[in-house]
Amino acid sequence: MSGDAVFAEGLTRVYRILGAGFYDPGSLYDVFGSRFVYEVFMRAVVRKRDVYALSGVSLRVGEGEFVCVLGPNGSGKTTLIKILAGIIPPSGGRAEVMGYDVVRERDMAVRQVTYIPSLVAAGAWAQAKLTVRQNLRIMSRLFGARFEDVLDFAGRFGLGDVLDRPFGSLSTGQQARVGLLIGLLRRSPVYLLDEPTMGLSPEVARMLRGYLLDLNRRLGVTVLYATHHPLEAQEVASRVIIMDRGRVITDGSVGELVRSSGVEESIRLEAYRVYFDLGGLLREFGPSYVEVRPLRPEVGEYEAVLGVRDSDEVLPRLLNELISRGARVSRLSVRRASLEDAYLYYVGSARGERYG
Amino acid sequence: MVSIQSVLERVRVNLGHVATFYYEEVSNIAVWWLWNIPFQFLQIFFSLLLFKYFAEAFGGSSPLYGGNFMAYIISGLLINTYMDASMEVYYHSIAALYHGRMGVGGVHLSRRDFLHLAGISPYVFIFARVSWRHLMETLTFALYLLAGVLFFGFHVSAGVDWGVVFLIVLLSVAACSGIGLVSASMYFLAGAYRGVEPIVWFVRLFVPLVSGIYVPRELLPRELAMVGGILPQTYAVGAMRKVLLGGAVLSDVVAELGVLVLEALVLIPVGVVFLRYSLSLERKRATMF
Repeated sequence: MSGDAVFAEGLTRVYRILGAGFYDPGSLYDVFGSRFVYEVFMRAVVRKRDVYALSGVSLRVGEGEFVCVLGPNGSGKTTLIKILAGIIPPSGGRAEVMGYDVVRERDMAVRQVTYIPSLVAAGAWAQAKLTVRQNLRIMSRLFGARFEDVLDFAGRFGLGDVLDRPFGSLSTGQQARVGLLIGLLRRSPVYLLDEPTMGLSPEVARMLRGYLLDLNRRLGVTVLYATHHPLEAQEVASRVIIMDRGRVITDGSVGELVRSSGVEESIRLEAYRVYFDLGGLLREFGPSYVEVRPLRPEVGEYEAVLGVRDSDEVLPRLLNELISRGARVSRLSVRRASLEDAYLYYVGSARGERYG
Repeated sequence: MVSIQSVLERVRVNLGHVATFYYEEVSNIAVWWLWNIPFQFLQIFFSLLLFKYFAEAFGGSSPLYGGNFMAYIISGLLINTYMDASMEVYYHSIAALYHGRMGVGGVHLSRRDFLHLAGISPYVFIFARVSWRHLMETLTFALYLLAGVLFFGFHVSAGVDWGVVFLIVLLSVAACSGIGLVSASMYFLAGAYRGVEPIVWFVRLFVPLVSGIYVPRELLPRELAMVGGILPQTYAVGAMRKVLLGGAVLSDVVAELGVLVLEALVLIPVGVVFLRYSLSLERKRATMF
């Protein structure tokens, strides 16, 4: 037993899937003429490959901490959260929630957890034909929550007016709120959230974060919150774990991560008449990271963000270079580095995209 | 050591969950149930009408049908209602449990995951679905009986032992449930979620032909009759006809019931093992691709 609220050591999750390049449902299926025979053949004969969703992830979350797991899409955040919630087992390593092993003591571990999935994942929980009220009644019975409390909570989430409408008729945002409400029915010492604000309007997303912060500060609930929005993580987290490609890249408070990235300032510019490799040019100035996004490439209009130590040292040379190549800068701003800059630096570094 | 009190408490809690799943079923069908029943009755009526005129056209008065073709057909359909449901409901329960689970790592969560988070065993859900389905089939049974009695001259034998009828239903459901459990395991073992489930498909291919529901087994060639000899439907239909139409008592159908018991004792444990293995395989793989 680790003594932490959440503990993971060497967590790995591998999936064996049918190899690419051999899957030819059209012609092979015609040969077999039967889906069943075809499937048996494919599983027995076709080459398979391993996909590592998590690769040796180790982390600790102390009781009462509010920790964000930050990473791009496909970084393994969802897999990590699901392993901790006991939904899928790890292929290797071990994990504990409130001291209970998520594999060997799965039933006890899941009782310590409130799990909130993203909108995309939660869609299967509510029944489209039933009304919101009926869905909530069923869920509150299964989770052992008082239905009156659930209805009160529904009102706070702005669902009071739609309680008697079929779930399938709700907007995406409303469905997201219902899914969120269902997830929050259980009160536990550990909250595991997987991009819970997906599909929510800004004010509801803010309300959710405020609710979680209140639970964390007032009741000492431990929160592990997965997101790919650095600004969201910066708003709520006391500590941030950055992941990419199934691995933990770094771990620390927001201030520590920003300082250690070496990014002091972030330059954002929009330029047009850019008919050259803007990214390549910017990399010559040795930034910590560079992001280039086309706005209207047909007229050479691009947006770029780069993290630097000292903008006073970089900007004059950069602007001179852009103008000498015929480009024009339409917008320029400089701000102090935030978690977003540190995140871009660390993810870029992990992928070998280091220029500074 | 597990105490009796904790077991009883667990049973009480699980029965509460079953009641919640029943509420869900009722909520799902409540809107159209009363609307649907007349249509279901009409469908049954017209399918029986087809048999009636089929018999008149092609000789339904054969002594092989016991002199009453419609009674022969209806008595077979009555019991087959339950057996067909028993074979398919387990697979459909698994499909409902894992509906939504797609992609590597199960990106889309399913009801199975939800039940895990709520601390509810998936077998409670399966039990609720299966028992509900059989309750609903009782309605179909009643509709067939009603149509038969009102419009097609179907009369059960005087003094029929309904206790034996219930026993036949129970044992035939048990035997077919074994097939159903094996069928359900194919959801993951054979990847049947992508298409046709082969076990029930195969059984259903033969049942109408060889089990005596529509065609007297005396007419069949030996090979087909042998196939019928291993299907529980054959014995259930035979026993049901003897009791409903022939006034047979328990001692008259002991042989048929014995076969049903034997098949249940073999098929149910096999089905349970297969199903548990398939669910453990799903958990280990955590992907449906």
